[in-house]
Amino acid sequence: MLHLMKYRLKQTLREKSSMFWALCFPLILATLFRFAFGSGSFDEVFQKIPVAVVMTSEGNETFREFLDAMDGDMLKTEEMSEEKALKKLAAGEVEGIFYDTKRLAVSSNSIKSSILNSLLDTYVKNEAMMLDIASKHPERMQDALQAMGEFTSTTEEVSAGGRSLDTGLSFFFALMAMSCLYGCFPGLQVMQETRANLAALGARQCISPTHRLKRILAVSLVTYGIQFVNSAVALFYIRFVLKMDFGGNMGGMLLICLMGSLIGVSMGIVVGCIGKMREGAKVGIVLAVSMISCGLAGLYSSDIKVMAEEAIPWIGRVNPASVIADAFYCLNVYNDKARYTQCLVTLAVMSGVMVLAGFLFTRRERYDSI
Amino acid sequence: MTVYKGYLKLWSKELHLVFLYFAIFMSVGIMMQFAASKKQEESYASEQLDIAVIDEDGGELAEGLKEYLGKIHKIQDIGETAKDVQEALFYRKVKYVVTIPENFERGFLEHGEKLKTTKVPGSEQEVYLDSQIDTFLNGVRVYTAGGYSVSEAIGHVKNVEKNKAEVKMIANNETGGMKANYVYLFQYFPYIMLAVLGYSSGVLISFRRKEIRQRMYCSSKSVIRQNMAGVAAFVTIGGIIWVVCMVIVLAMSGKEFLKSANIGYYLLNSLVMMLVALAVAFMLGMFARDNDTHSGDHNLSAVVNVISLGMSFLCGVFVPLEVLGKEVKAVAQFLPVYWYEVINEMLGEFDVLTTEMLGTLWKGMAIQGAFAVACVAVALGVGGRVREV
Repeated sequence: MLHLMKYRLKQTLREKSSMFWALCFPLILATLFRFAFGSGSFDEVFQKIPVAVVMTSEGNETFREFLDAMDGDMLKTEEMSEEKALKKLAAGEVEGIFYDTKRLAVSSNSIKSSILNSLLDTYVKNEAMMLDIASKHPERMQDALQAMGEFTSTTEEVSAGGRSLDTGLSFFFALMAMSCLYGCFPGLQVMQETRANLAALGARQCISPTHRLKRILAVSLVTYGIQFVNSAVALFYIRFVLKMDFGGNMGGMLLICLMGSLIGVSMGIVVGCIGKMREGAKVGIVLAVSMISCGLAGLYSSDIKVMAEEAIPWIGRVNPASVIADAFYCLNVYNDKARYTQCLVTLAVMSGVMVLAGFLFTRRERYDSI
Repeated sequence: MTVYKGYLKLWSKELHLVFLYFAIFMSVGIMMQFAASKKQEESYASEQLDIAVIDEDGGELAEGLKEYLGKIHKIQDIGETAKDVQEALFYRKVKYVVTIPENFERGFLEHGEKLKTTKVPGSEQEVYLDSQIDTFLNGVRVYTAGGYSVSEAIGHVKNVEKNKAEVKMIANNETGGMKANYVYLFQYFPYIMLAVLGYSSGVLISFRRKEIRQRMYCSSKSVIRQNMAGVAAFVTIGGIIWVVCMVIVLAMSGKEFLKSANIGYYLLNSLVMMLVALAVAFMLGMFARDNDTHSGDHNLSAVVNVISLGMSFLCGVFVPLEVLGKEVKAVAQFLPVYWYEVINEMLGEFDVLTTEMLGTLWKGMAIQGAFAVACVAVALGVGGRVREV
């Protein structure tokens, strides 16, 4: 048995392509994620929105002063005629037109236009407040103005478990799910190689006196082990090299990796056991299943996960990638032990079912002549 | 013609795999289109959300806030313990939970204490809720500083809330300033093209096997003609996939798309992108190991995935250009997909293109074209070197 395990270990490690998928690909993708979501803070992205200012005869000096105060800070204002402003708006040279009659014209519903919208909204409301106070408590005007100057955010986001939350994290949770599920590649490869009708190696092993169960057990154990190390490497890389805020308990997260690898490899094993399809076709199948599963868990866009959960709630309970991502949420965001355990049990049961299915497909297989 | 037919014959043998990959990538694309357009609609309409308010304070300010939020959203009763909150968020019973802590009224007015909010992770429309709470509480603070009592302040803030900014939409496109649905499908088009054509380039590997190469050199046809036949076959394959993609666009939002003022530019831009993807695929096919097709296939799919996903993430296919960081954009502008996306965004937003926009459009297409030519040149160069070996 040890002999079998040793050689399977060597063989799997030397199979560059499946090691690429299971080990390198998640690391490359994580680095890309870090670049795409990690850099570029809000201030950096939305510096100085260009706007046109149109003065009319019934103009409002206070509003003009307000815009001047914003100029160079959040806005880049330029005074011009209405005709010119409309032309510039149509050419996309300005994001919006402020009229000194406290009106705004925009051409799209981009993030920039909604910033302009909320800027004007705040002004209109503050003006109404000041007029209110000036008419009833003019003596307190100064205090009120000071209070207005201290306009702050009054909310603070915490996770259900009390930790703060970074939305970019959801991509990394889905990525960890992908890293685990890509264990299907080594799993598939192992199955292909042990089947006598698909590989010469399988045929050779078939005629050896070693019991089939022993053989399959040895290779499965080694593959699970390797895949666990692969996903643990991805976890450490994301946590310590890319420095993402995976604040949860490390032991707990490694346990998710272990169960996740189990389901990934099992998925490969079950596909490897089905029929006599060529390896290319089987790779296509596992790729399709894992990509769509990860897509639904939010790998491409967190909106997809939210949308899927709203449309078909049970899909998140049975989709392996969603269950793995949810387990990470439970540890890092919700701090919810009960649901975390529930996720792990779900993974274990699903893996068990898959391995059983694989066993049923291959048991009592006999070859007369190959 | 024989070589051309040979390429297509090999490709048709792999057709089931090509279709499989096409279906996978297309379904991801369609999934993303639905998510993105749904998000756009939500950001437009101030939607009523299911929320929960846990009031541990019970004071006047807390009541006022509850009433204020209750007018805009639907307040659900979910219980008060941490477990209840987790349960409600996990099963999406509510999307937003705000906890008003004990003695909040004093804490907030005297020390600026903050409210604790919890959202469903990954969903963004709740940002508006934050700003609604900000407006309410800051308003109360200003009024109390201005000499009003808390209950008076609450009443006045609710009154002031009725003042809304007057915003006019002068849309530059037919869809009223919103992006049409097909714009999103075109946004994912580079990913589909790069991935599917990349996989198709496996055909080249078979042609580069030693025996086949030797056999082909014996023929009376010049190597240049053979290569040209290969290129022509690749263009045919690309054309077929491009047509299938356009048919899908038509099937999903044909009416809208046919009415678009920029339909010609959309087609041209995607056609140029298809050529880029073909050129990349052609280059990959030339680089892939040819000594044994089996591992060549695997190496190829690894490289194809890294290139297609890499370009897609850096150039605004998955993450919109407007939220990408400056450094990322600085790198991305050397890549063709970035220019494709810049053009696509512009076409989505403006029905009438100014001279300057047309300048950007042609520049973008020229950069894409130059990239494609460079890839083919490198590929042919490598092909030549391999031949000499």
